Amino acid sequence: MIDPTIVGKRITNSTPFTVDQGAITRFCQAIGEHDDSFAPPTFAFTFIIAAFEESLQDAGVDWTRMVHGDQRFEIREPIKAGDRLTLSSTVESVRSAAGNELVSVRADIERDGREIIQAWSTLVVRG
Amino acid sequence: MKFTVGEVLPNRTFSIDRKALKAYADASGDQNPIHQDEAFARSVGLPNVIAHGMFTLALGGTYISDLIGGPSKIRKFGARFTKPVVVPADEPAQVEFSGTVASIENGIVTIELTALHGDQKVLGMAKAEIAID
Repeated sequence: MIDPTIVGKRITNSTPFTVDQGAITRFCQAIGEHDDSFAPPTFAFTFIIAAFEESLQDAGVDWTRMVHGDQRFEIREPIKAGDRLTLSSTVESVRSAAGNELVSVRADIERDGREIIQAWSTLVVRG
Repeated sequence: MKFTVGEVLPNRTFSIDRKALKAYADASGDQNPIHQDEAFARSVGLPNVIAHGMFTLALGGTYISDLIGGPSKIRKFGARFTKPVVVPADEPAQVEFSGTVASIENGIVTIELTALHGDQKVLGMAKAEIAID
């Protein structure tokens, strides 16, 4: 059972991290994207995932049974090399459906105090 | 780029092998062994190694990006992961993307995506919204 009291838990990295061109380029190469002047729309998940793991630490999640249920992004401005970003993640819900447990988490990404990307994920722990 | 509502976009097939999964794992930081280690994948009840759902979704992003001339105009993008893409060691998995222009409103083109692995849809409700000038 996932601990339902984690709903509302918010984690913020207040120290900005800098996106380097190498990380964008490697990601583009792995997905067959030729244009690496901006990050592809799903690139943000490469650092969102660590925040999710932190959010769900000690919540009784069996990571070996975890799969990704859904994912969506709203991108006001794409990420590019040199961006200094901060990231918050918030657990929005925990619920059961069809014998599985579902956790929904939102990530908010800011550049210079301005929100540029929001991402919503549902993670499924297979029953 | 110029689109019309109802337009069916050219389809494109991506081939996913174990090497591609390793490259995606390294580039994304997602080293979950279900995407690389066959024995581990089977031990947790999967039929074999499966592709990262985010890898399949990212390939959908590449499909859209190539159609519109780069990734920077994509404003919304997402999908459900409805079926795993199983990647046997000796046989790359094929995922075929196609798209339809669902609407053009207020400077936004909405493309509905289909991703097929064999006859199975591996993404559900897959959609991209693109800003046009």
